[in-house]
Amino acid sequence: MKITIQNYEEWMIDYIEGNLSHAQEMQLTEFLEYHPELKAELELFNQTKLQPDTHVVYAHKESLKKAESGRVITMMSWIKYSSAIAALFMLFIGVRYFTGTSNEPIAIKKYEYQNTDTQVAFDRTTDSMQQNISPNTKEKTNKIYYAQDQTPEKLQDKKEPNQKLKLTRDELNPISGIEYAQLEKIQSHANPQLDLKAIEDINLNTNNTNDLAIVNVKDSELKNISLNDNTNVIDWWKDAVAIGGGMEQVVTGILEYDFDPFQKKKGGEEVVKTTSIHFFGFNYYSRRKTSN
Amino acid sequence: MTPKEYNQIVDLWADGVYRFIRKNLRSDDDSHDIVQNAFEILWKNHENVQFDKAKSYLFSTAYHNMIDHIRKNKRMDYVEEIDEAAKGGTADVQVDVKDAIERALKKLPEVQKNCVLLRDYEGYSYEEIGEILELTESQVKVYIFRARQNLKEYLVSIHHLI
Repeated sequence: MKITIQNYEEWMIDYIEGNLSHAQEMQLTEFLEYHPELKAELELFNQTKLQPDTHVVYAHKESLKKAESGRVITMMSWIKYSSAIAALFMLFIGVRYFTGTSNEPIAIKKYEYQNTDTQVAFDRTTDSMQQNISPNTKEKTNKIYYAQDQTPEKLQDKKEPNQKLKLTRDELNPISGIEYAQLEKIQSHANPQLDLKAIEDINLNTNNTNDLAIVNVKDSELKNISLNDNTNVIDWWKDAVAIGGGMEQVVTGILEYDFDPFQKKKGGEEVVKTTSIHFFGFNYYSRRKTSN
Repeated sequence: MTPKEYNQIVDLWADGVYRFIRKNLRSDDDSHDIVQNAFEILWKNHENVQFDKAKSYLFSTAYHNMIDHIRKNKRMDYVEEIDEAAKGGTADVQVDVKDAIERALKKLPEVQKNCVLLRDYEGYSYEEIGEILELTESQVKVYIFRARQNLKEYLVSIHHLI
């Protein structure tokens, strides 16, 4: 759009508004060279630019301000953090437990038969699993079967490491213990020379579910299973996270529980009540619904 | 927006929003109450308002509070305007340009006055003024154009009187 005597006001206002490009400013200057009587009008437009009176101030700024000390962390976040720390701590304890020296007790001490009351204990001194009969299964004691080529006397004599049965993680979970299904598989066919594939191929006698399994496992093998398998660490982490989540639910449930015995009598509208505590430089806010 | 940022907003813009409101209302106390109320609303919503949007939010809230206040007290303000006009009629013509602009500003329609106040006092863009006053960008530009024309005409008339 070209500047003319009809539209020069619009150009002048755009000029003082700062909307003109450099080229357009040059056009306006050139236009005023031809119409010097309009320069005074441009000066008047310049005077319409308002200047704020800096003496007018809001005198009560401090009364508008709010406390800003510490970081603001909601209570729910605090619980999550605490739970995560607790879970990590438990994980740390677990790792220390499994990575201790051979003199320390290993985690797997006792296993229990699924679907039976017969207990089998792992005896470190003899590197063998031993039966521990609970009182209500005394009548079953005479149903113990041993491997075909082994008697209790032979077991006492056989302590060579070579005869230990190799188990992998699937059969011997360091957290949950030996999987009972595998124990059942090998209970009456325990042969130290068999590998797992061989064990799986064994045709099981399902009538012997209450029988004792003879399992020999070296401590070092147990530790190898625990330490050298990264999948186990992930399992522990998942367990720790699950524990942390459970703790959070429990604590959250406690916080959300309204202890006010007169709540029902009061009636009124439900409002969100916010309370805060200051602790170690942190402001903790707790919000919960309550009745007026 | 954190409490710390909210306090920064108080330091940065409390004066500006007060000047803006004070130009529209004649009472210091009313202007003070409206600014205080606007900041209370900002604080209540400070977690949902971003820091870079807080200034517009504050001015918009204060502006709407002011509109409500003017509607409620229309009769009273009208009486005050008559008093002011009576004073102006008998007073000597002010030579000072700044005073002349102030007088001219009072004669502008509200919407023109608020557009040019936000533009010159706070340096808002047309778009931002539109958000605060609930106008389109082109409407803001037209109102500012008319406001400056009116202000200039008033200055011309003052010069003629002199």
